[in-house]
Amino acid sequence: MNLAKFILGRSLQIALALFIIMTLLFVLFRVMPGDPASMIMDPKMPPEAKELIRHQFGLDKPLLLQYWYYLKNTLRGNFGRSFYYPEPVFEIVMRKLPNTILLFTTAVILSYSLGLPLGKAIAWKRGTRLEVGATTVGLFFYTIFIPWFGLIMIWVFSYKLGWFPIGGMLTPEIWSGQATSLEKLLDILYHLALPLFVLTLLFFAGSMLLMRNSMLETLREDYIVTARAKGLPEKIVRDRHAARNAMLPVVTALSLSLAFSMNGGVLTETVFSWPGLGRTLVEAVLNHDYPLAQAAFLLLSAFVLFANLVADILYAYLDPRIKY
Amino acid sequence: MKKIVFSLLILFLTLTMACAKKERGEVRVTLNIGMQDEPKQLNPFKASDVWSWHIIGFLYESLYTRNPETFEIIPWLAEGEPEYDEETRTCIVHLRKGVKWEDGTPFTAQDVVFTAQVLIDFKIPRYISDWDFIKRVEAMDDYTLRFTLKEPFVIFFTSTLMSLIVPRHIWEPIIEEANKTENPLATLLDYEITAPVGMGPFRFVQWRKGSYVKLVRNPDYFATGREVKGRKVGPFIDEILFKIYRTTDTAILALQKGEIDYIWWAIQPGFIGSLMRDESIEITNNPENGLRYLAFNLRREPFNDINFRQAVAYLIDKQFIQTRVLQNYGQALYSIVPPGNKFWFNPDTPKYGKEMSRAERVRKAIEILKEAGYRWNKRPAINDEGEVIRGEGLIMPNGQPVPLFTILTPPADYDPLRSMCGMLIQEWLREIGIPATSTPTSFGDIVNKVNTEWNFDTYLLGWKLGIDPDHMRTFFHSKEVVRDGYNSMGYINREFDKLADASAREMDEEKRREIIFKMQEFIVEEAPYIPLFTSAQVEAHRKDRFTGWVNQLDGIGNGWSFLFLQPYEPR
Amino acid sequence: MKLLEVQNLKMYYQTSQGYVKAVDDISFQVEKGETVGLVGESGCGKTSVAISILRLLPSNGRILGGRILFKGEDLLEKEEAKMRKLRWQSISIIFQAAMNALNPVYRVGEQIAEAIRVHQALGRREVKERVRELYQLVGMDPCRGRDYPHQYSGGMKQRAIIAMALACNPELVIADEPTTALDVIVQDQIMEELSKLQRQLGMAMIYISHDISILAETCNRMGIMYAGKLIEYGETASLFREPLHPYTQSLLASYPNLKGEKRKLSSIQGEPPGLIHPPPGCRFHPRCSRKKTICEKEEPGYRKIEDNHWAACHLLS
Repeated sequence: MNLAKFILGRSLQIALALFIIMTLLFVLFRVMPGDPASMIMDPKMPPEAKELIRHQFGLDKPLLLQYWYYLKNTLRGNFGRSFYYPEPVFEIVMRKLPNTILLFTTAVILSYSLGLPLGKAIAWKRGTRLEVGATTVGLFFYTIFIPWFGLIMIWVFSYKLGWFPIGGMLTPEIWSGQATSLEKLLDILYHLALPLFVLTLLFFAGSMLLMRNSMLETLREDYIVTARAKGLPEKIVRDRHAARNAMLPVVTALSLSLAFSMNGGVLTETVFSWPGLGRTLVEAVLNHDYPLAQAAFLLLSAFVLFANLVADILYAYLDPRIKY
Repeated sequence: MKKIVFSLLILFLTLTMACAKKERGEVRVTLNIGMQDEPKQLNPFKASDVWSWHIIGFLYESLYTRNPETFEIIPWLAEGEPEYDEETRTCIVHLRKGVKWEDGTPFTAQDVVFTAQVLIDFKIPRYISDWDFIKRVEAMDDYTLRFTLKEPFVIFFTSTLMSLIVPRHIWEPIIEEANKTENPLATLLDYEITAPVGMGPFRFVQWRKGSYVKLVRNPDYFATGREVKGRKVGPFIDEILFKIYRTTDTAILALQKGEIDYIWWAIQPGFIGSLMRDESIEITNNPENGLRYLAFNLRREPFNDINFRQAVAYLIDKQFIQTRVLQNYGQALYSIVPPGNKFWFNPDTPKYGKEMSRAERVRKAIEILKEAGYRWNKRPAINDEGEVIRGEGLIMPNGQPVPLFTILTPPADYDPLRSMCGMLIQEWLREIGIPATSTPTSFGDIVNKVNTEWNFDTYLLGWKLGIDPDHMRTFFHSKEVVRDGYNSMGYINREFDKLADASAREMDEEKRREIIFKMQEFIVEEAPYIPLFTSAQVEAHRKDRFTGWVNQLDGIGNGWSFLFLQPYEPR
Repeated sequence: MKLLEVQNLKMYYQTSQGYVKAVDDISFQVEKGETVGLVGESGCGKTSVAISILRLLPSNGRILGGRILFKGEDLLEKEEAKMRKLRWQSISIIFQAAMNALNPVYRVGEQIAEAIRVHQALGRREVKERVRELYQLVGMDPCRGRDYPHQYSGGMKQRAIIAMALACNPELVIADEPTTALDVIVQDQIMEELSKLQRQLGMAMIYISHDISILAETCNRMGIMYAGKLIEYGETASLFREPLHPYTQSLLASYPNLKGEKRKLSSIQGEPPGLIHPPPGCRFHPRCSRKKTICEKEEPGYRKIEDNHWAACHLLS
């Protein structure tokens, strides 16, 4: 009945989910045709060399044994070694994940802190030009093709106006010289600005539309009439009574959409050459780099599951009807 | 609200900072290169991706190298020609004196012996085929090497002697460490090189992972000042910055903006139009040393019939592919060696259907098939206007109908050229009643079906080739008809095997050339592969920054370019 | 002075099919301290009258005519800010508990306190004290103020809503179906509670219900609504003794007699009409067993039968 117990219970669920995900990942990557050795199309690589590679990666062992090692090592926190990178997989992921999180989380926070109030406001002003305009713009960004939009933004703001860099995360001239930490920090922010803007716009549109719809639903509730009848100022009716309740489905949808919005994240990272996990992941799959792909997916899954747990706890806080 | 104001403030600050960026120190000549990805690693024993080699290539050198124009082998770290003795199968190589590793350690024969020993002992997959026939490598003295071969293989000169050399004093401890572990090879390959020590024209200084790699000029580079092909060897640039742009679109913007001077990957012809209009950009168009081909599964009917294969070869209009599909960014191929490889290319192989009209091709194919005993349910024909009247139901000499078969091609998003060709070939074959179906399939799937399962009819894939034509031996020798082998067609011809073996052992270049020519004729005649085309390496660089790019097979991103490049000086 | 006078009130809802004539030319009045009942089937416009008085119309509701005089001032003319002050302070409303009248995410006590804080300059402690008082007033444990709505039973919710309505000592309370969806025993308790509170606090009430029988004991006067029209209006005693309109008659006939005599329950034939295109003439004529030709053509005017008893029916002339 208490929160600690709930979190414990959910953690067990998450552990089980992760185990299932691990197994699925393992199976999924093995049923993909070919293995990293057979992918090598180099006339200088005789069959014996390929066999050597298989042996070196442990791919010549029976599948069940590979699975067993994989489980055992992962549980010990050893995610194995990439077939292509020299570092342990965990290090590769941990090197790139912060960049993704920096971009992604900032965008999510920014977009929701803009989208929710605006969604609330336009629902309140239903039928006005503001609402119609904002909804149309929202739908435009919600359905936009990111690579195209990102490129347009780069073309306008980086190429034509020169306000932002064309891509990447650092200016080599600054980072290879003797710049101060502040300069370096500002340099990252300077590179972050445009991709952040694009991703924020994208998430923002979704959160705004979601909040607007939820708010419109809530405004039909009787307690809103009660609140008005009580003579409460409009602002209090809107914020305290309507918005607070409208938040509930939004929080649920948010945590669910997190996994899907990763997709937009990958595309944004690519267009802006942001050194995040997204591209690494796609490439690892294409290259049959099982250890890297498995670890990256597993950690991303863990991240999403954890975000869901946070959303659940947040939900309990927002909605007194939910008790753990 | 506060948050927004704060972030706007930061943004504003950043902008002003960026505008106020000041130049620091003396003016250095920097070549900025755009790459699509960063190197995966700098361990030369493991690195297999092109981006890693773009960096590693600058750091290490080899005993011999190839002339930038003729591809003739010239001594590099070595001095003079290798002295090969057929009797004893030994080869003496003399080394240049006074060459130093970048840390000041002299380069000696010991380094070569050590490198060879590592490659041979560890059986490093990437290198093993160049070294497994070497019995011994000894240092007679610090500057004289003696190689002893188990068997004479010509790739000793064309590959082995062009392997990169690593410094013994750096790698010896690593090797000792690896030897102590359970799996020495794995340990060696997984060894992470963070500060490579080489002797190449540039030194590695910094790699900010995910962002850029920085190299600076090696002031002690041994070849500086030498003359190659009438040009003085540099480098004349102080540093190279490798920046990463994930998409061609953004790389082109960066190039136009001057953020980079050269995009080190081939750009699709679609981008050329807009780049042509930019005065400061130059587009180079060099043939790729590659081969896209159609291959048959000779284990199956009717592909086991040479007549059938030749008929197919006549039906494929390579000229059409060159002009329409490649839009002349690429070249139709009639042999297994691309014409850009001037020395080894045989211009006199049979050229099925070259300069023939559609009607002539069809007539020829029908004629071949008819003579070989094929029949049709409905015979194709050519009417008086030269139009083809479609045939249907081709029947093999044994009375069975030719079964519906597939042409495996990579999907359009992987390679639009090949999937397009697949479609065209399907239509050309169907015209005379050959029931082909072009099936775009994921690359992994094709490789698996073709190389591992041998479960296919025909497929369309490509090779990147080396200058040495030894690849022909690999593709068509019967010993490669094994799992993971490269003769996936199951082409077995003892006569060809003999030629191929001879080509590998013929140490005399002229004599070998004759054999290689014969092999080309042989394969084109037999047609287990039908060579289709080689695409172009279309690249873009800024005109107003550097001059001296070396146009070569496979483009301007070659080692010579970076040795010859000079800052551009406007007149 | 009359506390509330509703004069020729017209309130329509705008829909894509046309205007829904929910309140069509209705007049009635409420004296200080008096209880007036409004009876009618669901969808007849009773609640629309209530929300018109408080000017809590949904966005598609329009008041197209009439006046609502509260202590002589027309509420329809008032600025929104003044109207907001008047709400709850002077006129409050008791919603049906079965509806979501309480906000699920706030503590009930807090929702009551909120109403007090808006209208009265009281300190935290005083507000808290007032909430406790109100809980005691409606016979509830003041500690329950800390609970959320979902922790209450239906009866408790209704009591809490009543407590909330009384928070600012209003002069007029509109009770909109306050006992619907409660079981009979609780219904009685709530009704008694309400009457007791009304006597105790001396406020006027408008009682809205579809059930004429429960209003009989509590209301001084009563109005019968049918299809957006007030068809009969009079003192409860008079109305029960001598119902004039055929609709009122059948309405009374469908409930057990007050004295408990067994009477044959009769129900009214047919359905109430749609309010977008109500029938011409008397709106009740399609279901009226005694209709005449004039009923289909001419809208009946009010006939005064005795003091304070009016009805709109052609049969009366």
